[in-house]
Amino acid sequence: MRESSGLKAAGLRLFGLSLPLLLVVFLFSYLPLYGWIYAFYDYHAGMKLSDTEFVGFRHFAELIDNPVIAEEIGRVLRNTFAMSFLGIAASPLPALFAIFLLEVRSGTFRKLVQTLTTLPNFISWILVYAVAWSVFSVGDGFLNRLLIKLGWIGTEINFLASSDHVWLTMLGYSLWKGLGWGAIIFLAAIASIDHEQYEAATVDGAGRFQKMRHVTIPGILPTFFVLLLLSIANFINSGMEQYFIFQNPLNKDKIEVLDLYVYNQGMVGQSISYATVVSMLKSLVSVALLFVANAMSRAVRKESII
Amino acid sequence: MVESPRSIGSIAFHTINYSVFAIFTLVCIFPFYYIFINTISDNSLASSGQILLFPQGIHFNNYAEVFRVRGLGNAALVSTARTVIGTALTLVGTSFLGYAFSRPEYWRRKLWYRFVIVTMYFNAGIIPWFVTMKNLGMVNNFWAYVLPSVVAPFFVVLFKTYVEQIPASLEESAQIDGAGYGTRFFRIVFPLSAPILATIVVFTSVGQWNSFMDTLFLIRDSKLYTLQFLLYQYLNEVNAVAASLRSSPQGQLVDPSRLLTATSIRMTISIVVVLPILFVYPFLQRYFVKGLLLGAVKG
Amino acid sequence: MYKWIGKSQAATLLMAVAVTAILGGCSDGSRNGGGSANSSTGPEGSKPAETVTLQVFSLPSNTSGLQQGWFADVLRDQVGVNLELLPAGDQGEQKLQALMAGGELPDIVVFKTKRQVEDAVRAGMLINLDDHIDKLPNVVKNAPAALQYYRDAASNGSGKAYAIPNQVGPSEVGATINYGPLIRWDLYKKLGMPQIKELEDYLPVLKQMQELEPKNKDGQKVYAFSLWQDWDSMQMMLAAQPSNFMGVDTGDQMGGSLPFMQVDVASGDTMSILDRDSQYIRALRFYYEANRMGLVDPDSLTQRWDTAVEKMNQGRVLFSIWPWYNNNKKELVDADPPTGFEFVPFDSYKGTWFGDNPIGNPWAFAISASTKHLDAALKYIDFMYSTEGLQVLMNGPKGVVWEMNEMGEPYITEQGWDLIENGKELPGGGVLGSAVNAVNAQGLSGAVIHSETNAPLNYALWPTTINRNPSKLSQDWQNATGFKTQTEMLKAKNMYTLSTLAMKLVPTIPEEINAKAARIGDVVKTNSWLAVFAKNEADFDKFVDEMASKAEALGLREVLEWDAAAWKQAQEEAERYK
Repeated sequence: MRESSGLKAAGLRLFGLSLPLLLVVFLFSYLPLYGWIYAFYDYHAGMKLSDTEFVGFRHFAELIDNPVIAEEIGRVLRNTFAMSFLGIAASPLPALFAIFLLEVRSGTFRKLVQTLTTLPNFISWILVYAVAWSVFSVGDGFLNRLLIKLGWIGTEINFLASSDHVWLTMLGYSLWKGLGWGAIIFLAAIASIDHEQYEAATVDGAGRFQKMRHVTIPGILPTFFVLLLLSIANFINSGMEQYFIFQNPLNKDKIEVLDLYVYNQGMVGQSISYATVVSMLKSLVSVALLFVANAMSRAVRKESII
Repeated sequence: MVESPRSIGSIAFHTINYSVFAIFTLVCIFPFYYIFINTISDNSLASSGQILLFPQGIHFNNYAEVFRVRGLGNAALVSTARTVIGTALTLVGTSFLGYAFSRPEYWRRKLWYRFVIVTMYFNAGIIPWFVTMKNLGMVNNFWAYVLPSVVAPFFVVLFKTYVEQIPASLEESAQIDGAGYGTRFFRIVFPLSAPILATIVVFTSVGQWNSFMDTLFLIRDSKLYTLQFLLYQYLNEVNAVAASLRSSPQGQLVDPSRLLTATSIRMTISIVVVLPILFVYPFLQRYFVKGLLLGAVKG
Repeated sequence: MYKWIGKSQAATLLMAVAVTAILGGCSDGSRNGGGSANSSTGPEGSKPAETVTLQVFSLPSNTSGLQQGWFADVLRDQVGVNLELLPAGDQGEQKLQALMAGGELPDIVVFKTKRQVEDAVRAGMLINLDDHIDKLPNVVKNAPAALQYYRDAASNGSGKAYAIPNQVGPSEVGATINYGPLIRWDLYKKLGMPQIKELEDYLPVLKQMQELEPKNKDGQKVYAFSLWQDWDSMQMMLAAQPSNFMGVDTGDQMGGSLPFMQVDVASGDTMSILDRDSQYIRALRFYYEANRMGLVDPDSLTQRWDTAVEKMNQGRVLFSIWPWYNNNKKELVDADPPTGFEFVPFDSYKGTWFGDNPIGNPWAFAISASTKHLDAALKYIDFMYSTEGLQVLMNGPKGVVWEMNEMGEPYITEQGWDLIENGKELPGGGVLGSAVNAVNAQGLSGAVIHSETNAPLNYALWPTTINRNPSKLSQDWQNATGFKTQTEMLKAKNMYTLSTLAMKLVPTIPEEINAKAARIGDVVKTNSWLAVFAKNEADFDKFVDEMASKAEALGLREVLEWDAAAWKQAQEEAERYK
């Protein structure tokens, strides 16, 4: 009894210590949510809410009131699903990158690779496109000129405009840009695995790959799963900038993800209420996915992340 | 770490391993290299896409022009201050919260943990955010750069996951000795978390260094402009000047090349902004070496 | 044990905290009023005792910060103000909404659309200018119709003026109108200047020109057209251009205000641009045929505007829609033989010529209701509508860039040309264009005549400028056509269409219609490009038909109905503001 009340007091104390931080979270993340009320009004900037007309769920209905729109949204969700799914399927890659990088014996080479592979993360998508342009464009693109010189193709291929393999190509660019950077987290996770475990494994006669299987991978598994679950919750937010930059009429039907579609439709830029509705819906979907993923994790791994 | 003796398998593995990483690294570097040589090559050659492998007509005018932007020195200072202070605050705040949530006795742990995590997935929109910031006195104020990000939910999760892997015995012995949470955190947990802390530092500092939307909306005083923002504005200005020439009768009086919008300026700005990061990151890499810490401390 | 915050790191932290304190302290207190109180001391008409710093938020502008340089000195001396520009960036609209939601606007705001003005008026964020109209004598003198228009249409029904449109005045046309087309004159001459009857007749001529010069001097391929998508908002912008050669607008000027409506600018007749016989579809077909003939750069689908301009600069393009878009570099147009672009109309050409604009453009000046420097703001705005003020801002002080000659005409001096053409800075700092670019709005059109110089405000329109040493290429063109400038030719041959004021008077589009139009626009954009690059006639038809049917399904009819009613209203109002 005394044990638990002592524990409770300690728990409260800890809570108290963290209170300022929780306050910061509340102030900067929860307070702005009052803005969600705009979704239910015909709001224009600068007006007092009391002066605007209450429209209930009208804006929500307007989003899908048209059969053409419903079809479009289906297509767009398919693209979002495909891109997000590919992203999730590729999620072990940063971990593998980290694991194999730490197998490199030469410290200098390793550090070099570590630093240099993070470079793409800092290049804005606009510039990525400029570089892609110089390699893949029809008239002056390096690749086309090379292929023609080698005689492998007769006329140029319009790589950038093509609608084939768009999802894979976009995945490729994402990986190029994010792999080195994303591996950092796993480098940290591996660095924190107890040294003694490796020593014990060596004593037991474990080889390189066995150590990976029995020490390294189990060591980073918690981190990996946490990241995986967090990214599942992010399924619907596949980002926009990359797809906006690479989109063109020929690949549009495959590359247009939800965020880009909403942007292209133009309503979001013009009406605060529409923008709020979209944002609200996406938030609800994400939070729901988070709890679903968590429940699945609890069922499968007997562990929940939140 | 003890290496197995040089077998065929070992040599093969290392060959493949090194090659794969070498190739990937080259693929990562090449675009950066490409951008760089374009910024130091003759501008008209660069814009006609003729610079691919080697710079030609080398000059540094693009850099000279960017460095002539007014207020650059002050903006660099602001950016540095913001990065250092913001990162320090976030480091302490986020890790402490992660630690606190890892303690099972935390009052209503599940509730508050979810309270923090869920914020990653919603976003109220720029306008409510702005009004809130205004009401909190964060307009035109340096604190607006560092306070809102004190808690980074993503790293709270990671730190908590990490802490939960530290053997409880370490902390318990301190607890038995009567140490309070603060002491236990700062004296024991914090020092043991080098890798994850280094990760937080890397990600946070880059985020701070690169952000400019908050400057755009919140700051009126040009003394508080950050480097990224200043350069972003400069790029917009250059584009705008070219655009306005287009639509006026005067457009026909200037040399057509003045109508060029400045890809070379954009590239130069990119390089200028990235370089400081490249100098800092290597210093943090020593924390990412395998199997370093726990063993050392426990012994 | 090396993860505890070491001494050196602690020192860094401390220093950083100190810097914060200093910067934090700096950010309070010293804004809004720079170094002084307000300016209304001193007798009428004399320089105010102290300079006021006005905070300006100009949506069309991309400059920011406290303005310095030659024009800042002018403003300080003549108006007593310093301008501090708040950044708008490419998020200007959002930022405006954020500022309004926050309850107050900066001292001076330059809006980009009439709807923004209406929103601000409705929210009570602007000063009623009519209450202070005595302090705006130049505005009243030079822009009365514009004032009246905004009293009627942008006042939330109150009948008072809260903002003033800009660029009020006569049509700003000098040597050229807004549209070409221009083609490579030297190649055209080599072909013997074949007759071009209709728009489509350019294509075979361009094909022959391409055969004459299939590669530029760097060995890169030459095309007649190199297109881009950057400018598309609700349709393929480049397909909306050719109609202007016939005096018909298919979205270039009124795409935002009358979506998908084709308007004959003279007669006022309208039709949907998605109709099979519209000029828009005709333009799509024009480009489609050109592409089939190998005249269109295949990279058009994926390149940016920047790249297209670069290609023009490298001499890889043969056809230009606008007079300012060319490759007429000095060394080329004065070479022997000269090469470059010149105006070559087709026989039935009737290019749109923008008429006088007494009601101005929607980039409107307004004063915030929460300003503490009302008098200074009024003075500044009045300055921006005065001929004296604009003369200096657009041309620099007398004696620096321009002078008056013996015949009483203003002309740009040699030194002035050096400053302009080479982008050099004037004494005091800043290039010539920096004055106008700062706020990127000027009250009056550049064609307004200044009483002293008897010439328009904009130096590009001065006779001395227009008649300045023509290049070899221009001389060649002048000899061949018998005219000095494009406008001279158009006037003489009556090959132009004067636009009606109604184009500026279209009422603000309601949100629901705009939302529908935005959705339809997405379809129109995509299908237009697909049609242009279609592989055969059947595909072309397929894309065009699909575009029309999808648009119908998305509510095109409603949009067009609104368009028709709005246009009718605009035409009626045009009579009022003439």
